[in-house]
Amino acid sequence: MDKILKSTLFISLMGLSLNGSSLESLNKRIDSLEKQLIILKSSQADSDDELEERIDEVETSIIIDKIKFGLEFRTRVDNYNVKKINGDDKNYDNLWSNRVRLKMKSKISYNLKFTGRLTMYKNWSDSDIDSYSNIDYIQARRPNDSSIFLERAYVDWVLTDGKVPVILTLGRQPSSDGPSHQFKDNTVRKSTYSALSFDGVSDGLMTTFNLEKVSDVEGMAVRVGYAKGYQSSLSQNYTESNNGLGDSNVYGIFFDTSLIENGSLLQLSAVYADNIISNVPDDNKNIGDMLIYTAMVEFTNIYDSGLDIFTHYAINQMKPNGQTSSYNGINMDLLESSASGETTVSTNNVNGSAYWLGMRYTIPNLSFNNPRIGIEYNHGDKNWFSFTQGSNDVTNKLATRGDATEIYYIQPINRYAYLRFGVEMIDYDYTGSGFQLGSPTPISESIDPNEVDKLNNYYFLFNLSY
Amino acid sequence: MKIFRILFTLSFITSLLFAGGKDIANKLELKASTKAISQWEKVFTDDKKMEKLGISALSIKDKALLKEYLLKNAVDSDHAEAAGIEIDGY
Repeated sequence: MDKILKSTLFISLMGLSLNGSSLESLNKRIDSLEKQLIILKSSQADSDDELEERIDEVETSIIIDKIKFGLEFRTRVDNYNVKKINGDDKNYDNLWSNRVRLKMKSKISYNLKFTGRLTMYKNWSDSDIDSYSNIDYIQARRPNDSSIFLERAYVDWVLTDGKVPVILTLGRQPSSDGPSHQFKDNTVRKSTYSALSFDGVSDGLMTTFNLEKVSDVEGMAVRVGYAKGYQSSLSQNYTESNNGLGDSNVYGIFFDTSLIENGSLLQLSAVYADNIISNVPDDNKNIGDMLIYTAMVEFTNIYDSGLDIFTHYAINQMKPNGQTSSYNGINMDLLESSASGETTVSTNNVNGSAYWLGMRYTIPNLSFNNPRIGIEYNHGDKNWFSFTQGSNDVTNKLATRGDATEIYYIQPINRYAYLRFGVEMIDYDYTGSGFQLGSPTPISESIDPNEVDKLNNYYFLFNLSY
Repeated sequence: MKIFRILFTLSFITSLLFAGGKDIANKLELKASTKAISQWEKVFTDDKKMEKLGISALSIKDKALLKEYLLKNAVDSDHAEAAGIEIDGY
């Protein structure tokens, strides 16, 4: 603006010298220019004020928008085929469900962050809700009514931010849909733990020692955690247990590291849980302790080939304490049952194991939005048991004492939505997959004629995440 | 202890071999979480902005790597979730 005025003055003076106008005329013109300058300055100040006010409005809006929301929506149809040991072969087709997740994030201060997730998951027009889906660690993980459950709510608190940052994560943890479910779910890592060993809702504390800076390796960290598997409280005053049950405490240590940048993960972990409860209505007992060791490794988009692979292996050691719950007239302990005509059970340790492996390939076809195909296989032995009751899929396939195979095709619609077609084929070798109570027996020797021998599920789903 | 040494060495070597979009972003001092996906996409269609941010000088391959990294880690992208991570992505 000044430049323009100076130029104008210069031109005016030049003009004056050239045509020899009077001094009075020159003064008038200078007065006029001064007035114009004042008006322009005032106008500029008004404009600055207006801009500042508008920026203030945006800033205020950002400050008071304390939580950022995200949306996840899924509609799914399942078609089950069930073969029982009594020869029954039945189809349960056309089972539709909806799941809505409202994701929340908030940066409270430089060292405090909140993350949460509210979930509604229900079968279409279903009014007969199974009470099983109300168990704490299963809430939001199995179809219920249209109630909203708090599936995640945790604060990451950076305690120290030096060479080894220490972060305390407290609350309802990111403990479901963990590695390597993200391949099938067409997303990125969504939990702390290998999904072979833990999948469900969990309240606890986790301390992360971030070793990235000292090791120069992305994702390297050691975590130690504490959680409650079960907490008893008196319904009237919440201060003591009236059912005689002790709390179930869970302690864990985890080591994470990447092997190749961008999407590889190696995790080694050991988790100890005491006072595991039997969950038998009217005869609930603490039936023993358990240790589970897990090793997993996964690679995403190896050498830019579009290929992702993963493998997990876990060993569980069960330590029954001799206390029993009566179920179907048989006294049962942690993976132990009383012999016919007897009431006591063995307290010998019982070991089990399982593995899970799979791969996914992204087909480089832009006109089809780079669709993906994947295959997964898992096998669990006779005494395999882990904490996956709130699993990624309703069938809890990773708890199978036998073999499970899944094949799927993902058709991306755009960056936010995709379709998935798939089939799960589960072949049970032993009874009681996913349950901690009683000694597993070969399927063919089960006394329950309704025992499921084979379960297939053909499904189709639409998923949106925004 | 030996296995940890092997893992550490393997991680170090592979991280050198697979230097990608993150390294380029660090060199250019670009922080992915400062913009939304659509804002980063606009940057890559605006020659003036690319020049200002030092992106124009990159090779086509590096530009593609950088764009992939910035879009994947933009503030509104699908972020990894686990205890004690995802500190910058809010």
